[in-house]
Amino acid sequence: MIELAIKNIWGRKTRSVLTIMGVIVAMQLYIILSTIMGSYEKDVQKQISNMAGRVIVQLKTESGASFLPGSNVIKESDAKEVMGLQGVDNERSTPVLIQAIVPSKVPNAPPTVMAAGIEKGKEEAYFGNVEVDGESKISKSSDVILGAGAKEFYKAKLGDSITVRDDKFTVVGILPEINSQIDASVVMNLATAQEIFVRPSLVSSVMLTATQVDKVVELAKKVTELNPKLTASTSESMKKSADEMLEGQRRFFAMINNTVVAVAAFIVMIVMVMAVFERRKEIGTLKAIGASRAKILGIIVTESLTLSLIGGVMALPISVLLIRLVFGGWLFDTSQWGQTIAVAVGLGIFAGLWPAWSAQRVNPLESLRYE
Amino acid sequence: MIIQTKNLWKTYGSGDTQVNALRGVDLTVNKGDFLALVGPSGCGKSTLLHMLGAMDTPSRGEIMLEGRELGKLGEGQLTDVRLERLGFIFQTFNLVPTLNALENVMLPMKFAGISRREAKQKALCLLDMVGLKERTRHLPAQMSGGQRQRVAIARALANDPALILADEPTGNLDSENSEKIMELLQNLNRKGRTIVMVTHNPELAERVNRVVYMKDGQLAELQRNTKDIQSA
Ligand SMILES: Nc1ncnc2c1ncn2[C@@H]1O[C@H](COP(=O)(O)OP(=O)(O)O)[C@@H](O)[C@H]1O
Ligand SMILES: [Mg+2]
Repeated sequence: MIELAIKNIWGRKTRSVLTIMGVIVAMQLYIILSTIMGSYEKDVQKQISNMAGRVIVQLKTESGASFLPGSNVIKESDAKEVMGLQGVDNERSTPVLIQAIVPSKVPNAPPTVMAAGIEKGKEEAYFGNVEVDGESKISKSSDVILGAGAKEFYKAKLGDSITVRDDKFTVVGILPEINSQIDASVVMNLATAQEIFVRPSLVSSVMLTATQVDKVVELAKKVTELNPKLTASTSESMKKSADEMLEGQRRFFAMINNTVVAVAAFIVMIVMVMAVFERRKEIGTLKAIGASRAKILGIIVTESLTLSLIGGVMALPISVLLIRLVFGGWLFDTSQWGQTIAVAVGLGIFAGLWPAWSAQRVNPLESLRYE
Repeated sequence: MIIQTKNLWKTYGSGDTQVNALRGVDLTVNKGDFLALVGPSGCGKSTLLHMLGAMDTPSRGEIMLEGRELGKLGEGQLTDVRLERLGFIFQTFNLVPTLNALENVMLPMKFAGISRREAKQKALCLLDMVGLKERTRHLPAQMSGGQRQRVAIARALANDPALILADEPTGNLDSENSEKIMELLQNLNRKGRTIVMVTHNPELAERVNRVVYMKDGQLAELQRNTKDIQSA
């Protein structure tokens, strides 16, 4: 059957090319949306798991804690006050000033590269106890430690010099991949960041580590009691608000994705209905010479499936190229590819059912029709 | 006896517009017959052929094909009968336009579940027999009407049918090509194939061993011609 399907597709090139193009357009949109949503979700999860035992203090806004670092500022003196609270492990807590260097091309996403000003000597409070290539502390105000993504962006090696806002810095340390925020960071002294971004005595947030892991929620409560203008998030509260946000986003993406898949299914279905209509005489002939209903059903569904599958498979590399062109990264996820193929298969079969049903009902006497 | 009809009736429509296309047809086709159905247009030749071809069901009467009554078979069984016991040749050739000659001939064998290799071998053999050895990879659109009809004949023979049915097989062909098709059918008959052919070309009817005249849905007359007597 697959042979007859391919011959039919090949024999009607213009129609087939247009149909496949329609499927490609829809499926690449599906892939891009799913990839973005998937990588975004993964990253949020990573960030949250990185936060275990920590409290992030930020300015309280109407929408609660923000996932976009550096969108608001608080006074450094307020930060100091919070760090003086009982139960704070001062050595592993630091005020942080985040400033975008290269904003993201994806709306509402963290910057591609950003400066992270950290109190001198507290760098590890920001990126955690990880294996750093080079120095893990910043001793000179002209030194920086690069996150994995920032390193890629500057194409820098240890000892290289990079320019941030007209200031020259020396790369003294390079971090492994941790999460998108830290990967995007150019870690520098807080005072330096405040100076070059003109944020005197201001910080974005405070990262607190509790002396006792089980006292995290208590500590967060103390922070807001001390200063009601602040909000304190723990990994649990972050997880909750992340889930709420992700849920909304998931629903939105799912709606668009379902629509996109439905449009592709309609394209294939309309083409197949027309193909069956055009070929009534041919289908009648097949029945007259002994093709069973099941065979006819198989021929039409296979043809629909083949069209959809070719479109789905071709959409994969195209979507990778498009993501590269639009967002500038090689973002792809092979498990996502499997899912895309599965969607293309489901779509092809679904779109073929109705035309196949009407085809298998064609009377063998239709073979005698004059055209 | 290959096929036999008993008091076959076919009525189209109802009420005022009712047409009795067949009115009590009794016909017996024996093994090795080359039978021509002739008669004026609209007398019911095609209708009868479709009944014999298990493509349509009679309003009344019965059809026995190799001892089985077609009226008692379900749709799936009728499909199998068409696939395995009957070969149909159409006036308009009815090849699948996207398949080449070889693939068209292989099609019924594939429907019957014959392996690709075996089907290909047999199809090549059949195409050689109809004189199209050099045209196996041609699409129908790249062939003349006569060549297409020869492919269609090869396709009709694919599953070794007990009975070949042809509805005006030369109706769309010029006299030269008609001649070739007719020779081919005669050759098949000489090799023992049973053929029922509808035609209104009296010259063609001369060259078969049985002629059945039809008129107003009935068999008007049964005449055996000289050739039949020679071959009998
Ligand atoms: N599907 C149909 N519906 C109604 N009438 C039909 C149909 N098919 C054939 N007829 C009628 O039945 C009669 C016999 O037709 P047909 O068998 O095609 O004749 P022939 O092949 O001898 O020219 C004609 O009067 C024709 O109009
Ligand atoms: Mg007719």
